[in-house]
Amino acid sequence: MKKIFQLALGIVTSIGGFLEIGSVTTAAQGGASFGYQLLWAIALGTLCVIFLVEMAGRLSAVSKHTIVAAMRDRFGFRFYFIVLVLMAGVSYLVLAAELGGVALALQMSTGLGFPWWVIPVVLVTWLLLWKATFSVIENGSSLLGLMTVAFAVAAWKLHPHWSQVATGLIPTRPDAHAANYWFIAVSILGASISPYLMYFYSAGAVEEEWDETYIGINRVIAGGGMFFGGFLSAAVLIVAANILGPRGVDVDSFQQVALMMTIPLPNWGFELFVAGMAVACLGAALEITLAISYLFAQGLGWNWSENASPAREARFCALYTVLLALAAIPLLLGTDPVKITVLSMALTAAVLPATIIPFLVLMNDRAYVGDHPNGIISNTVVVVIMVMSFVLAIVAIPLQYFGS
Amino acid sequence: MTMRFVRSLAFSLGILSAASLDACKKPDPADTLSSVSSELATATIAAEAWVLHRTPNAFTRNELHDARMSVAQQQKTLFTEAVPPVDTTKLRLTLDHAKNVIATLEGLIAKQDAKSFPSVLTLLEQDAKDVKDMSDSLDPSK
Repeated sequence: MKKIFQLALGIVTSIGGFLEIGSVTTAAQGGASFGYQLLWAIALGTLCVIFLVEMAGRLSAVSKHTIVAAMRDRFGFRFYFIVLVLMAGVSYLVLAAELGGVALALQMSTGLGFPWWVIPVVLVTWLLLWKATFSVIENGSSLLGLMTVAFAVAAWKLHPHWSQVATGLIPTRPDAHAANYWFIAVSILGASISPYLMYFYSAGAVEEEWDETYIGINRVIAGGGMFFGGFLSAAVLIVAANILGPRGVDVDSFQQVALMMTIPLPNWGFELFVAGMAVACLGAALEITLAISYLFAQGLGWNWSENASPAREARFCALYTVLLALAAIPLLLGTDPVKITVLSMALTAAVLPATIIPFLVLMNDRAYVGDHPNGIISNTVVVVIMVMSFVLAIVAIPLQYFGS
Repeated sequence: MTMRFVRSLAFSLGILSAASLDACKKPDPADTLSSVSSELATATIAAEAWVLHRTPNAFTRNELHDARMSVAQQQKTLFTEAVPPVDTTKLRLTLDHAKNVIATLEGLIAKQDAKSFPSVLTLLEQDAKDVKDMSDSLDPSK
């Protein structure tokens, strides 16, 4: 009974926790600029993250190690340090973007500029990390994040041509604006395949003391939750393609996404978007702060449980306190959170090999996964999508920023 | 140690050159006009949402204000560094008119005057459409 409850909760929270500023912004940009043509990027990213999250849970359930601890153990400190620097750098940008997302949501509801909200948002995030347990953070924010289901309702109400939607699942080359097309594709992939998600999920499995009996549950949670989460991202793209694209709006602000929701959902669209995004971005900010802190603590051998009192893990708590303070700096200086988001999502795709290749090695090493190593399908799918994202990122990022 | 220093220096110079290249990159006329068109379209959607009581006053006023400022800023680029191959006299008149209309709409929101709002909004919709037509004429995919 307990496991059925965990299963249901796991799927629901995965759906509610999937959308955040990165996935919403990049999907809306894709829909507004290229109609349904970039749906394939969401589909591929979702497929990849389903496999990765399932692997993260399996590794922790079997080995009782988090990914980071296993990586340090298997590859040594030098290799771990490279991953630490890359991941901490990119995740820092993602954290700033998510905190900015909450501040922007508050700006939209009050009219007061987002920099004024940065310090209150950082304080609330810090307080939640200080006081709450892991399950409260994970389940609370994700359950409230279910408000983002409003995107699916909005997409449904617009009655899109489903045959055209299906065509978007097949990768095609754009007729024009190739640099922008590939850059958005990379950003969508980066937003979907967030390595912090794997670290967070794997730490969660250890915190909740999963064992091998959880392998089936883990598979259903990863598959079901991430699939429906990806479906919500696709819904954002569909709404943007129907509302913003035909009117010639290029998405460069979060506010434009809020406005598009007022057309299919006239009564509650704006409020649902603002509340849903505030909660979703806050949830993501909490998860990323924890993921970065886990990255340091698990690799350096510190105490790290979010369920323990701060006094027992002083370095872990000091680290997330400093991280939050640092992430506030670009926002206080007025840097647009959407610009940080787009750059950080593309950079995430660029650093994927550094995090995923060692993870794949672990997932094929019986010393860690015992009788549950990866099969040929999971290895192939993850390698193909990772290589594609990396190559696209290497080509598209310079093209986008320095011109073709 | 020396090699490491040389490598760091080369990396820093690479980053600096890339940043300089980006700063020196000439704005593209079609992209700039498309961006202006997008701002006007956003302002139109915001104003339409307000008159139907779908968005709060402060949010809508901020959106209109930001759109007006952005159009004014990009207008400078459009008539100096990135002149698009369209009827620039008409474009200038349309953009000047659109900025005035947006300012009027901001004033009407401040006064909570929903009665006069729709007729002014129609003017903005027409300006946005004219600019979008000009922008689309430069886009090979449209």
